[in-house]
Amino acid sequence: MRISRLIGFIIAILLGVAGGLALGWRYLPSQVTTTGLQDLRADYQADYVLMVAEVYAADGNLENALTLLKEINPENPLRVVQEGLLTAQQMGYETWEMRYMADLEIGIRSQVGQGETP
Amino acid sequence: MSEKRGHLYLLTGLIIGVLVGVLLSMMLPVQYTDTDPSLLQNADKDLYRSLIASAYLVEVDNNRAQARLELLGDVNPQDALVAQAQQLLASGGSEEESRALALLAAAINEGVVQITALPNINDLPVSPPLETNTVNTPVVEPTGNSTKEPTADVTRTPVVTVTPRPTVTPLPTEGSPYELVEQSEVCDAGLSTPLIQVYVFDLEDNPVAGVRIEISITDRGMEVFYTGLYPEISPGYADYQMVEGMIYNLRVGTAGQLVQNLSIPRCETDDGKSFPGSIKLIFKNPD
Repeated sequence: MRISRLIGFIIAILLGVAGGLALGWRYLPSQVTTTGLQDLRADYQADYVLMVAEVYAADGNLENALTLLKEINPENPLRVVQEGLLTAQQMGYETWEMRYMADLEIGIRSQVGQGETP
Repeated sequence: MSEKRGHLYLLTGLIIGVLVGVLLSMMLPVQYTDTDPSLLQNADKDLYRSLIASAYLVEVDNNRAQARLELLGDVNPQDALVAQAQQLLASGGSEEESRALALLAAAINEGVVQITALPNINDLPVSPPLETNTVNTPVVEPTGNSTKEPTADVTRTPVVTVTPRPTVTPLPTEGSPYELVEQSEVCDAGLSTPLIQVYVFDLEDNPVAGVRIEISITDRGMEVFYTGLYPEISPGYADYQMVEGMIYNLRVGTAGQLVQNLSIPRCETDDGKSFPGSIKLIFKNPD
């Protein structure tokens, strides 16, 4: 009987720990977080790409755009734009928004075409 | 005897476990996937906020900028913008970035701020529509390792919002020839530090946010700051802390009138005690 009580006690503790972790991560998420831009959901990433594209459209600073995109994918910023375009298409972005993003993609591609790694 | 003890030990175990679990959750870093901007680490939140402000200068869509800011989950988005702008200036960061942040803060404060959108260098034959699209603020379930479809519960409904325009905040035109219309000493013993207080207005006496102010000290270089960082005072307000013994020259806008030889005025209390005062400058765009 003692053994069964001990096992029950341990199981209760383990369940409590699991519940406590879930509670803590659910309701105290900002205490310690390492969540970065790469962890954003696809629709937020698409909006991020749109913002980068808009800024690029205004200042023409491809280096800055690439730096911002590398926050999501340091290896392949072009892919970030392409995925953003796909998501934007699925979500029915406006034509002018798609064009901003497409222009950014073209800008990055042209840099690749000139032999530079984005 | 032991048979009569009941099952309290289970409850005890559960409580101990929950306490340990919560403590562990606070100590162990958590990484969310497929998450929303409110759960980003602070550095990334700053970057995201800055990008929102920069994009705002292109889109000039208040609703969208505000919706995006709400995603960051700041208690007071305006304060967060102002704090970041001030921090940027203090650390010698990008002037453009801090200006964008200040302008967006002013836009939120005013409700509606009209600014001129930055032109597209590619001369796209399209422009953001007047009837704005609003990004829906999704309801987010921050699950640790969510495997749900990224776009499952988010819809991007193009909502036509008729933006009321009761007040028109003037354009922050950097090159406007702002003229000094009033210079006065402020003797307020309640002010802990001597300030140069600058108020910038347009022709119709509307405060103007985002105006560049240059302040120079002989042989000590120049500093730049912008109106709009203290929207609780006025969108057209900015101040600079003076140091005893220094003489300052100040210009509002890039082609504004240079105000020279500004220094801390001496004030007196009712009982004759001397204390450092402040200077109030009011500028206006005559055009």
